[in-house]
Amino acid sequence: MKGLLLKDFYVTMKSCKMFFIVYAIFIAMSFALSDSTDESFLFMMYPVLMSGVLAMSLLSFDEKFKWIKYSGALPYSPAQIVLSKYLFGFIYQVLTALIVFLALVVWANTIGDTTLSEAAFSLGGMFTISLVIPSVSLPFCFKFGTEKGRIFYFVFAFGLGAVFFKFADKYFAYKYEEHIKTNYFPLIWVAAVVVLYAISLAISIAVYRKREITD
Amino acid sequence: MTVNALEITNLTKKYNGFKLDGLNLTLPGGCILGLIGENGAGKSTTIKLILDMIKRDDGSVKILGRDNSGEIRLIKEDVGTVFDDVGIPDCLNVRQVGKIMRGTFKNWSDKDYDALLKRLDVPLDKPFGKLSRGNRMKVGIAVAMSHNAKLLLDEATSGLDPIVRDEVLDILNEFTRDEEHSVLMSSHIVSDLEKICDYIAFLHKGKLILFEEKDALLAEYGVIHCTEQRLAELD
Repeated sequence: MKGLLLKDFYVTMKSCKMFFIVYAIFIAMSFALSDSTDESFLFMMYPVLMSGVLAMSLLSFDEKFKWIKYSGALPYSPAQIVLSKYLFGFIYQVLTALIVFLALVVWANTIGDTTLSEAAFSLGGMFTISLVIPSVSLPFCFKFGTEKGRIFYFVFAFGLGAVFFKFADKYFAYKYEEHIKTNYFPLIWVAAVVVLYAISLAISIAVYRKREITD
Repeated sequence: MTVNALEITNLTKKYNGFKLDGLNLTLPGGCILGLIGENGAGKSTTIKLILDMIKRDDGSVKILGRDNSGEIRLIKEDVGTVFDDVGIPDCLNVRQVGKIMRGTFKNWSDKDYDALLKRLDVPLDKPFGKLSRGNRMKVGIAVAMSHNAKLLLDEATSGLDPIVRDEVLDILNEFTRDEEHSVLMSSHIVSDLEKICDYIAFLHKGKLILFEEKDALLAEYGVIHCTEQRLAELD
């Protein structure tokens, strides 16, 4: 599986440069707009959310370059091919979250309208939401290809966004420190995301085993 | 005793409008088998079935004496494949491809890979997407021959220009000097097959029309250009 991870690393470095540019822009915006809003750090959350799309983008590159067909001739099992995408995507998401966390530390110490722990709580929430993206989109991408998987993802993301923001209004109306002490919701949410991620991986492996690799 | 590189028995695959119909082929070790046929005859389907990339409806495939439905991942360590569209991402350069394959094949040899690339005169630092079609296929061939494969499945050589094709045919010939090495070559260039193949299999619309030793084919078969009436009059 080392070869698959290395391939995805090279492709990410070469073909996903736009991701890094967008990250830099959003982090810069959160600093630049700190005078006009107390919650400018929320701009930094976008890269974290966006990192969840990487695995799907890599799969789309694999289809474009016929790597999917080629990997069918290499000594990899379907489980290894699927697992490598989840694993690489996860590592990438963790690294993105770490970079954003470092930016938040700087932000909290220089601008400081919101405490670091408050910002980090938002980051944690956004990171778990970003894990939902591949969990939902990848089984469809492995089954039907990325074109249809992408359509499903956008429908899902729009729906999730609508539900989340409606819910977030009420949820964040509490003071979050109080909320953590008195409510188990964050823990339940994290557990649900972990379970969803594991189920998604199992489904993707099962559908990819049955998929006929034609082109 | 040398094991057959390939034993295909009654291999069948149905699609809408196409059926690979009960294919039987045997490729002895140390030999080159030319698989010939028009576009859509079933050559690519056969290769995908050999690699278990698509599910067969009937029949069996043995690669180097092992059934391909059981331990195909391990079997693929001994198989080198070159597809006509290769399948390497455009943004990778040839060195990076080598590093990826080092992490893929247990028996990968950087030395063999470098030597083949040098021999085939492939630029090492250009992105794969910037290479000519011929050079891309050469990279595919170098990968397929750098992990001590015992069986080569090649559907790329026919896409090369005549000069490069000759170079590749020489390499394939050298490869099969070892009795453990065999090649299944899918092509529609009859002159190439005549030059290097030991066996010829002719597929037409999913059916095996002919499977014969090349020498027997040259000695015993011919082409007659005449009317059906004249043909009927012949003994």
